[in-house]
Amino acid sequence: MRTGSSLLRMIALFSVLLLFVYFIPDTEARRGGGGKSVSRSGHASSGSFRGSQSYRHDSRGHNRSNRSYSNRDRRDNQQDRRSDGRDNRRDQRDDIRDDRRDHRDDVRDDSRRYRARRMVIGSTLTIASYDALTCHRTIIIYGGVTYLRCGTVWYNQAYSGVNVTYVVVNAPPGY
Amino acid sequence: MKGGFCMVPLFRWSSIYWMVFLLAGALVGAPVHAQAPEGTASANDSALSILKRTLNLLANQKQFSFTAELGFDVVQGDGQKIEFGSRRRLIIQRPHRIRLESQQRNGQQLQVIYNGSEISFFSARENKYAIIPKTGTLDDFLNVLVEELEVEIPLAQVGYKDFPEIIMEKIDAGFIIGESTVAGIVCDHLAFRNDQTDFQIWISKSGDPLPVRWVITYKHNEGQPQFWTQFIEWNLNPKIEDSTFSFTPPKGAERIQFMSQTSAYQQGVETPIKEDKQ
Repeated sequence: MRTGSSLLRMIALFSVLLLFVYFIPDTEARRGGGGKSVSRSGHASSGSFRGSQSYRHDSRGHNRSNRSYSNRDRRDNQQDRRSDGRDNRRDQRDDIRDDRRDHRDDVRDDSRRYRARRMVIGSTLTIASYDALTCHRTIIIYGGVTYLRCGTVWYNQAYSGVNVTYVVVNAPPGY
Repeated sequence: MKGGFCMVPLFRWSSIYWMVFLLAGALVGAPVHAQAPEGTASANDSALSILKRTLNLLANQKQFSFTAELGFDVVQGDGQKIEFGSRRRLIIQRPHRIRLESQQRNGQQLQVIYNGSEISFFSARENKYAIIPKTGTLDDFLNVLVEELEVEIPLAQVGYKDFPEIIMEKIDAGFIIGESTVAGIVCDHLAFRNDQTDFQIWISKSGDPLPVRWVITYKHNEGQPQFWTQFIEWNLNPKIEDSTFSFTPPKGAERIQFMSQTSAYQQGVETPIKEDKQ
Protein backbone atom coordinates (compact mmCIF):
# COMPACT_ATOMS: atom_id res chain seq x y z
CA MET A 1 0.00 0.00 0.00
CA ARG A 2 2.80 2.38 0.95
CA THR A 3 4.57 1.67 -2.36
CA GLY A 4 1.33 2.33 -4.27
CA SER A 5 0.76 5.61 -2.47
CA SER A 6 4.34 6.75 -3.18
CA LEU A 7 3.86 5.86 -6.82
CA LEU A 8 0.67 7.92 -6.93
CA ARG A 9 2.48 10.85 -5.32
CA MET A 10 5.28 10.58 -7.87
CA ILE A 11 2.79 10.48 -10.75
CA ALA A 12 1.02 13.52 -9.34
CA LEU A 13 4.34 15.39 -9.00
CA PHE A 14 5.36 14.42 -12.51
CA SER A 15 2.00 15.64 -13.83
CA VAL A 16 2.48 19.01 -12.17
CA LEU A 17 5.97 19.25 -13.66
CA LEU A 18 4.56 18.39 -17.08
CA LEU A 19 1.97 21.11 -16.62
CA PHE A 20 4.73 23.65 -16.02
CA VAL A 21 6.86 22.44 -18.91
CA TYR A 22 4.10 22.29 -21.52
CA PHE A 23 1.44 24.81 -20.58
CA ILE A 24 3.05 27.68 -18.72
CA PRO A 25 5.07 28.91 -21.71
CA ASP A 26 1.89 28.99 -23.81
CA THR A 27 0.04 30.88 -21.11
CA GLU A 28 2.84 33.41 -20.99
CA ALA A 29 2.75 33.71 -24.74
CA ARG A 30 -0.97 34.35 -24.65
CA ARG A 31 -0.47 37.09 -22.07
CA GLY A 32 2.24 38.60 -24.22
CA GLY A 33 4.66 38.26 -21.36
CA GLY A 34 6.61 35.28 -22.68
CA GLY A 35 7.71 34.62 -26.23
CA LYS A 36 4.88 36.46 -27.93
CA SER A 37 5.63 40.06 -28.63
CA VAL A 38 2.96 42.15 -30.29
CA SER A 39 3.85 44.49 -33.11
CA ARG A 40 1.77 47.64 -32.97
CA SER A 41 2.79 49.12 -36.25
CA GLY A 42 2.61 47.71 -39.74
CA HIS A 43 2.02 48.75 -43.28
CA ALA A 44 -1.67 49.49 -42.77
CA SER A 45 -0.93 51.88 -39.88
CA SER A 46 0.28 54.49 -42.36
CA GLY A 47 -3.11 54.88 -44.03
CA SER A 48 -1.22 55.34 -47.28
CA PHE A 49 -2.77 54.63 -50.66
CA ARG A 50 0.28 52.65 -51.61
CA GLY A 51 1.08 49.07 -50.61
CA SER A 52 4.23 47.01 -50.73
CA GLN A 53 4.72 43.88 -52.75
CA SER A 54 6.32 41.82 -50.02
CA TYR A 55 5.63 41.92 -46.34
CA ARG A 56 8.60 42.32 -44.05
CA HIS A 57 7.67 39.49 -41.71
CA ASP A 58 7.23 37.31 -44.76
CA SER A 59 10.74 37.86 -46.00
CA ARG A 60 12.32 37.44 -42.61
CA GLY A 61 10.03 34.67 -41.38
CA HIS A 62 11.74 34.69 -38.01
CA ASN A 63 8.66 34.87 -35.81
CA ARG A 64 6.72 32.42 -37.93
CA SER A 65 9.37 29.73 -37.72
CA ASN A 66 9.61 30.17 -33.98
CA ARG A 67 5.90 29.65 -33.49
CA SER A 68 5.45 26.44 -35.47
CA TYR A 69 7.32 24.06 -33.21
CA SER A 70 5.84 20.89 -31.79
CA ASN A 71 5.53 19.92 -28.12
CA ARG A 72 8.80 18.00 -28.24
CA ASP A 73 10.53 20.89 -29.92
CA ARG A 74 9.05 23.18 -27.31
CA ARG A 75 10.72 21.20 -24.54
CA ASP A 76 13.99 21.13 -26.44
CA ASN A 77 13.74 24.83 -27.07
CA GLN A 78 13.28 25.85 -23.47
CA GLN A 79 16.92 26.80 -23.09
CA ASP A 80 16.89 28.65 -26.40
CA ARG A 81 14.03 30.86 -25.31
CA ARG A 82 16.21 33.49 -23.78
CA SER A 83 18.32 33.95 -26.90
CA ASP A 84 15.17 33.82 -29.07
CA GLY A 85 13.73 36.59 -26.95
CA ARG A 86 16.84 38.65 -27.60
CA ASP A 87 16.57 37.93 -31.32
CA ASN A 88 12.90 38.84 -31.33
CA ARG A 89 13.59 42.11 -29.57
CA ARG A 90 16.31 42.88 -32.10
CA ASP A 91 13.95 41.97 -34.93
CA GLN A 92 11.27 44.15 -33.39
CA ARG A 93 13.64 47.09 -33.32
CA ASP A 94 14.53 46.38 -36.94
CA ASP A 95 10.83 46.12 -37.79
CA ILE A 96 10.04 49.42 -36.13
CA ARG A 97 12.89 51.09 -38.01
CA ASP A 98 11.82 49.44 -41.27
CA ASP A 99 8.16 50.31 -40.75
CA ARG A 100 9.11 53.92 -40.06
CA ARG A 101 11.20 53.99 -43.20
CA ASP A 102 8.35 52.41 -45.16
CA HIS A 103 5.99 55.02 -43.83
CA ARG A 104 8.30 57.82 -44.86
CA ASP A 105 8.54 56.25 -48.28
CA ASP A 106 4.77 56.01 -48.45
CA VAL A 107 4.22 59.62 -47.58
CA ARG A 108 7.04 60.63 -49.87
CA ASP A 109 5.25 58.75 -52.58
CA ASP A 110 2.00 60.40 -51.60
CA SER A 111 3.46 63.87 -51.43
CA ARG A 112 6.49 63.53 -53.77
CA ARG A 113 8.44 65.92 -51.61
CA TYR A 114 10.90 63.78 -49.68
CA ARG A 115 14.42 65.14 -49.88
CA ALA A 116 16.78 63.41 -47.48
CA ARG A 117 17.05 60.99 -44.61
CA ARG A 118 19.35 61.46 -41.64
CA MET A 119 20.60 58.67 -39.43
CA VAL A 120 21.14 59.38 -35.76
CA ILE A 121 24.65 58.82 -34.45
CA GLY A 122 24.86 57.01 -31.12
CA SER A 123 22.37 54.99 -29.17
CA THR A 124 18.94 55.64 -27.71
CA LEU A 125 17.25 54.11 -24.68
CA THR A 126 13.62 53.73 -23.75
CA ILE A 127 12.44 55.28 -20.49
CA ALA A 128 12.36 51.84 -18.84
CA SER A 129 15.90 50.99 -20.00
CA TYR A 130 17.23 54.34 -18.77
CA ASP A 131 15.52 53.92 -15.40
CA ALA A 132 17.12 50.49 -15.06
CA LEU A 133 20.65 51.88 -15.42
CA THR A 134 22.71 51.74 -12.26
CA CYS A 135 24.91 54.81 -12.13
CA HIS A 136 25.40 58.09 -10.38
CA ARG A 137 23.05 60.63 -11.99
CA THR A 138 23.39 64.37 -12.39
CA ILE A 139 21.05 66.86 -14.03
CA ILE A 140 22.42 69.97 -15.73
CA ILE A 141 20.35 72.59 -17.50
CA TYR A 142 22.30 74.34 -20.24
CA GLY A 143 20.77 76.70 -22.78
CA GLY A 144 17.28 75.72 -21.70
CA VAL A 145 18.02 72.06 -22.42
CA THR A 146 18.13 69.43 -19.70
CA TYR A 147 21.21 67.18 -19.80
CA LEU A 148 21.25 64.00 -17.74
CA ARG A 149 24.57 62.47 -16.81
CA CYS A 150 24.60 58.80 -15.92
CA GLY A 151 28.15 57.84 -14.98
CA THR A 152 30.24 59.35 -17.75
CA VAL A 153 27.52 59.30 -20.41
CA TRP A 154 25.34 62.31 -21.21
CA TYR A 155 21.76 62.03 -22.35
CA ASN A 156 19.00 64.28 -23.66
CA GLN A 157 15.37 63.28 -23.49
CA ALA A 158 13.98 63.49 -27.00
CA TYR A 159 10.99 62.39 -29.05
CA SER A 160 11.82 59.61 -31.45
CA GLY A 161 8.65 59.68 -33.48
CA VAL A 162 5.96 59.89 -30.82
CA ASN A 163 7.98 58.02 -28.17
CA VAL A 164 10.08 59.60 -25.44
CA THR A 165 13.64 58.26 -25.52
CA TYR A 166 16.98 59.00 -23.93
CA VAL A 167 19.59 59.70 -26.55
CA VAL A 168 23.33 59.77 -25.96
CA VAL A 169 24.66 63.26 -26.74
CA ASN A 170 27.80 65.34 -26.38
CA ALA A 171 28.46 66.80 -22.95
CA PRO A 172 27.24 70.38 -22.57
CA PRO A 173 29.99 73.00 -23.01
CA GLY A 174 32.23 73.22 -19.97
CA TYR A 175 31.64 69.64 -18.82
CA MET B 1 -68.84 38.99 -61.09
CA LYS B 2 -68.27 41.61 -63.78
CA GLY B 3 -65.77 43.41 -61.71
CA GLY B 4 -64.09 40.16 -60.85
CA PHE B 5 -63.87 39.22 -64.52
CA CYS B 6 -62.13 42.51 -65.29
CA MET B 7 -59.62 42.05 -62.49
CA VAL B 8 -58.20 38.82 -63.85
CA PRO B 9 -56.94 40.05 -67.25
CA LEU B 10 -55.60 43.25 -65.68
CA PHE B 11 -53.55 41.17 -63.24
CA ARG B 12 -52.29 39.02 -66.06
CA TRP B 13 -51.27 41.98 -68.19
CA SER B 14 -49.47 43.61 -65.31
CA SER B 15 -47.59 40.37 -64.67
CA ILE B 16 -46.43 40.32 -68.27
CA TYR B 17 -45.34 43.96 -68.03
CA TRP B 18 -43.32 43.17 -64.92
CA MET B 19 -41.76 40.10 -66.53
CA VAL B 20 -40.76 42.10 -69.61
CA PHE B 21 -39.44 44.89 -67.41
CA LEU B 22 -37.41 42.54 -65.22
CA LEU B 23 -36.08 40.62 -68.23
CA ALA B 24 -35.03 43.88 -69.88
CA GLY B 25 -33.50 45.01 -66.64
CA ALA B 26 -31.57 41.77 -66.32
CA LEU B 27 -30.32 41.96 -69.91
CA VAL B 28 -29.28 45.59 -69.58
CA GLY B 29 -28.11 45.43 -66.01
CA ALA B 30 -26.04 42.27 -66.11
CA PRO B 31 -23.31 43.45 -68.44
CA VAL B 32 -23.10 46.77 -66.61
CA HIS B 33 -22.45 45.07 -63.31
CA ALA B 34 -20.11 42.60 -64.92
CA GLN B 35 -18.03 45.32 -66.49
CA ALA B 36 -18.15 47.88 -63.72
CA PRO B 37 -15.45 46.32 -61.53
CA GLU B 38 -13.05 46.45 -64.47
CA GLY B 39 -13.55 50.20 -64.54
CA THR B 40 -15.59 50.92 -67.62
CA ALA B 41 -15.15 54.40 -68.94
CA SER B 42 -18.65 55.54 -68.03
CA ALA B 43 -18.69 53.98 -64.58
CA ASN B 44 -15.18 55.20 -63.88
CA ASP B 45 -16.03 58.72 -64.95
CA SER B 46 -19.06 58.88 -62.66
CA ALA B 47 -17.17 57.49 -59.70
CA LEU B 48 -14.21 59.77 -60.34
CA SER B 49 -16.39 62.84 -60.69
CA ILE B 50 -18.04 62.14 -57.31
CA LEU B 51 -14.64 61.61 -55.68
CA LYS B 52 -13.13 64.68 -57.35
CA ARG B 53 -15.97 66.85 -56.13
CA THR B 54 -15.24 65.76 -52.54
CA LEU B 55 -11.48 66.17 -52.79
CA ASN B 56 -11.78 69.58 -54.43
CA LEU B 57 -14.24 70.70 -51.77
CA LEU B 58 -11.65 69.96 -49.07
CA ALA B 59 -8.73 71.36 -51.05
CA ASN B 60 -10.49 74.68 -51.63
CA GLN B 61 -11.74 75.02 -48.08
CA LYS B 62 -9.85 77.76 -46.23
CA GLN B 63 -10.59 76.08 -42.94
CA PHE B 64 -12.27 72.91 -41.75
CA SER B 65 -12.25 70.44 -38.91
CA PHE B 66 -13.19 66.81 -38.42
CA THR B 67 -13.29 64.15 -35.77
CA ALA B 68 -12.68 60.60 -36.92
CA GLU B 69 -12.19 57.16 -35.51
CA LEU B 70 -9.57 55.12 -37.31
CA GLY B 71 -8.35 51.58 -37.08
CA PHE B 72 -5.76 49.43 -38.79
CA ASP B 73 -4.73 45.81 -38.83
CA VAL B 74 -1.24 44.80 -37.81
CA VAL B 75 -0.40 41.34 -39.06
CA GLN B 76 1.86 39.67 -36.54
CA GLY B 77 4.80 37.45 -37.35
CA ASP B 78 2.66 34.35 -36.86
CA GLY B 79 -0.05 35.69 -39.18
CA GLN B 80 -2.48 36.76 -36.48
CA LYS B 81 -4.24 40.00 -37.32
CA ILE B 82 -4.68 42.52 -34.51
CA GLU B 83 -6.44 45.87 -34.76
CA PHE B 84 -5.15 49.10 -33.28
CA GLY B 85 -6.43 52.61 -33.76
CA SER B 86 -7.18 56.03 -32.39
CA ARG B 87 -9.59 58.90 -32.44
CA ARG B 88 -8.37 61.98 -34.27
CA ARG B 89 -9.45 65.56 -34.28
CA LEU B 90 -7.98 67.85 -36.90
CA ILE B 91 -8.46 71.57 -37.40
CA ILE B 92 -6.91 73.24 -40.42
CA GLN B 93 -6.75 76.91 -41.27
CA ARG B 94 -4.87 77.54 -44.47
CA PRO B 95 -2.27 78.56 -45.34
CA HIS B 96 -0.25 77.61 -42.27
CA ARG B 97 -2.19 76.56 -39.19
CA ILE B 98 -3.09 73.10 -38.04
CA ARG B 99 -4.00 71.41 -34.77
CA LEU B 100 -4.04 67.63 -34.55
CA GLU B 101 -5.17 65.68 -31.50
CA SER B 102 -4.91 61.94 -31.24
CA GLN B 103 -6.41 59.79 -28.53
CA GLN B 104 -4.79 56.37 -28.75
CA ARG B 105 -6.60 53.24 -27.58
CA ASN B 106 -3.77 52.56 -25.11
CA GLY B 107 -4.64 55.75 -23.25
CA GLN B 108 -1.93 57.95 -24.74
CA GLN B 109 -3.01 61.38 -25.91
CA LEU B 110 -0.92 63.31 -28.39
CA GLN B 111 -1.22 66.86 -29.64
CA VAL B 112 0.55 68.59 -32.51
CA ILE B 113 0.12 72.29 -33.23
CA TYR B 114 1.66 74.31 -36.02
CA ASN B 115 1.02 78.04 -36.22
CA GLY B 116 3.32 79.09 -39.03
CA SER B 117 6.30 79.84 -36.78
CA GLU B 118 6.77 76.79 -34.56
CA ILE B 119 5.72 73.17 -34.15
CA SER B 120 4.76 71.91 -30.70
CA PHE B 121 4.29 68.29 -29.74
CA PHE B 122 2.81 67.13 -26.44
CA SER B 123 2.36 63.61 -25.04
CA ALA B 124 -0.01 63.51 -22.08
CA ARG B 125 1.03 60.17 -20.59
CA GLU B 126 4.59 61.37 -19.97
CA ASN B 127 3.47 65.01 -19.54
CA LYS B 128 6.32 66.13 -21.78
CA TYR B 129 6.47 68.42 -24.79
CA ALA B 130 8.87 69.70 -27.41
CA ILE B 131 8.89 72.83 -29.53
CA ILE B 132 10.84 73.53 -32.69
CA PRO B 133 10.82 76.76 -34.69
CA LYS B 134 9.68 76.25 -38.28
CA THR B 135 8.15 78.52 -40.87
CA GLY B 136 6.26 77.76 -44.04
CA THR B 137 2.97 76.49 -45.32
CA LEU B 138 0.96 73.47 -44.24
CA ASP B 139 2.75 71.43 -46.90
CA ASP B 140 6.10 72.40 -45.40
CA PHE B 141 4.86 71.46 -41.93
CA LEU B 142 3.61 68.06 -43.10
CA ASN B 143 6.96 67.35 -44.75
CA VAL B 144 8.90 68.29 -41.60
CA LEU B 145 6.59 66.17 -39.50
CA VAL B 146 7.27 63.07 -41.58
CA GLU B 147 10.86 63.57 -42.69
CA GLU B 148 12.49 65.23 -39.73
CA LEU B 149 10.30 64.50 -36.72
CA GLU B 150 9.31 61.02 -37.93
CA VAL B 151 5.75 61.32 -36.71
CA GLU B 152 3.13 59.20 -38.47
CA ILE B 153 0.27 61.29 -39.74
CA PRO B 154 -2.61 59.17 -41.03
CA LEU B 155 -5.41 61.50 -42.20
CA ALA B 156 -3.22 64.60 -41.95
CA GLN B 157 -2.43 64.13 -45.65
CA VAL B 158 -5.75 65.83 -46.37
CA GLY B 159 -3.91 69.05 -45.47
CA TYR B 160 -1.68 68.88 -48.56
CA LYS B 161 -2.66 71.52 -51.08
CA ASP B 162 -2.60 69.02 -53.93
CA PHE B 163 -4.30 66.21 -52.00
CA PRO B 164 -6.82 65.68 -54.87
CA GLU B 165 -4.00 65.11 -57.38
CA ILE B 166 -2.14 62.85 -54.94
CA ILE B 167 -5.19 60.59 -54.70
CA MET B 168 -6.38 60.80 -58.29
CA GLU B 169 -3.04 59.76 -59.75
CA LYS B 170 -3.13 56.59 -57.64
CA ILE B 171 -6.42 55.37 -59.10
CA ASP B 172 -6.30 52.82 -61.91
CA ALA B 173 -10.00 51.89 -61.96
CA GLY B 174 -13.15 52.57 -60.05
CA PHE B 175 -16.89 52.30 -60.10
CA ILE B 176 -20.01 53.18 -58.16
CA ILE B 177 -21.25 50.33 -56.03
CA GLY B 178 -24.48 52.14 -55.24
CA GLU B 179 -26.35 53.87 -52.50
CA SER B 180 -25.34 52.81 -49.01
CA THR B 181 -26.33 54.09 -45.56
CA VAL B 182 -23.47 54.43 -43.10
CA ALA B 183 -24.07 55.65 -39.53
CA GLY B 184 -27.50 56.83 -40.64
CA ILE B 185 -26.14 58.90 -43.54
CA VAL B 186 -27.15 58.01 -47.09
CA CYS B 187 -23.96 57.81 -49.13
CA ASP B 188 -22.56 57.03 -52.54
CA HIS B 189 -20.43 53.94 -52.05
CA LEU B 190 -17.46 54.05 -54.43
CA ALA B 191 -14.72 51.49 -55.00
CA PHE B 192 -11.31 52.21 -56.54
CA ARG B 193 -8.17 50.24 -57.02
CA ASN B 194 -4.58 50.36 -58.12
CA ASP B 195 -2.02 47.58 -58.43
CA GLN B 196 -1.29 47.63 -54.68
CA THR B 197 -4.38 48.77 -52.81
CA ASP B 198 -8.18 48.65 -52.98
CA PHE B 199 -9.87 51.81 -51.78
CA GLN B 200 -13.52 52.23 -50.83
CA ILE B 201 -15.11 55.50 -49.85
CA TRP B 202 -18.59 56.43 -48.73
CA ILE B 203 -19.56 60.03 -49.56
CA SER B 204 -22.60 61.76 -48.17
CA LYS B 205 -25.36 62.30 -50.73
CA SER B 206 -27.05 65.09 -48.82
CA GLY B 207 -25.56 68.47 -47.98
CA ASP B 208 -21.84 68.88 -48.63
CA PRO B 209 -20.34 65.79 -50.32
CA LEU B 210 -18.06 64.91 -47.41
CA PRO B 211 -16.51 61.51 -46.75
CA VAL B 212 -18.28 59.44 -44.13
CA ARG B 213 -16.00 56.43 -44.23
CA TRP B 214 -13.08 55.05 -46.16
CA VAL B 215 -11.31 51.71 -46.16
CA ILE B 216 -7.95 50.92 -47.73
CA THR B 217 -6.98 47.28 -48.26
CA TYR B 218 -3.31 46.41 -48.78
CA LYS B 219 -4.04 43.43 -50.94
CA HIS B 220 -0.47 42.30 -51.55
CA ASN B 221 0.60 42.44 -47.91
CA GLU B 222 0.38 39.29 -45.85
CA GLY B 223 -3.08 38.95 -44.34
CA GLN B 224 -4.37 41.80 -46.53
CA PRO B 225 -4.50 44.32 -43.65
CA GLN B 226 -6.94 47.21 -43.81
CA PHE B 227 -6.89 50.80 -42.70
CA TRP B 228 -10.31 52.29 -42.06
CA THR B 229 -11.58 55.72 -41.07
CA GLN B 230 -15.03 56.57 -39.85
CA PHE B 231 -15.69 60.30 -39.85
CA ILE B 232 -17.82 61.27 -36.88
CA GLU B 233 -18.09 64.99 -37.37
CA TRP B 234 -17.24 67.47 -40.11
CA ASN B 235 -17.31 71.23 -39.77
CA LEU B 236 -16.48 73.45 -42.75
CA ASN B 237 -16.72 76.57 -40.61
CA PRO B 238 -15.19 75.64 -37.26
CA LYS B 239 -14.98 78.12 -34.44
CA ILE B 240 -11.34 79.18 -34.19
CA GLU B 241 -10.05 81.05 -31.19
CA ASP B 242 -6.66 82.55 -30.38
CA SER B 243 -5.83 79.51 -28.29
CA THR B 244 -6.67 77.01 -31.03
CA PHE B 245 -3.24 77.21 -32.63
CA SER B 246 -1.14 78.21 -29.64
CA PHE B 247 0.37 75.70 -27.27
CA THR B 248 0.28 76.26 -23.52
CA PRO B 249 2.20 73.61 -21.58
CA PRO B 250 0.03 71.93 -18.96
CA LYS B 251 1.01 72.34 -15.33
CA GLY B 252 4.13 70.36 -14.45
CA ALA B 253 4.87 69.44 -18.07
CA GLU B 254 8.57 69.02 -18.83
CA ARG B 255 10.10 70.39 -22.00
CA ILE B 256 12.31 67.96 -23.89
CA GLN B 257 13.64 67.97 -27.43
CA PHE B 258 12.82 66.54 -30.78
CA MET B 259 15.47 64.07 -31.87
CA SER B 260 16.46 66.45 -34.66
CA GLN B 261 17.43 69.05 -32.05
CA THR B 262 19.99 66.79 -30.37
CA SER B 263 23.69 66.66 -31.20
CA ALA B 264 23.23 62.95 -31.98
CA TYR B 265 20.99 63.86 -34.91
CA GLN B 266 22.87 66.94 -36.01
CA GLN B 267 26.10 64.93 -36.29
CA GLY B 268 24.24 62.21 -38.17
CA VAL B 269 24.77 61.38 -41.80
CA GLU B 270 22.28 62.72 -44.31
CA THR B 271 21.45 60.49 -47.24
CA PRO B 272 20.02 62.35 -50.22
CA ILE B 273 16.97 60.76 -51.81
CA LYS B 274 15.77 61.41 -55.33
CA GLU B 275 12.92 63.85 -55.01
CA ASP B 276 10.60 62.03 -57.38
CA LYS B 277 11.21 58.33 -57.79
CA GLN B 278 8.60 57.89 -60.48
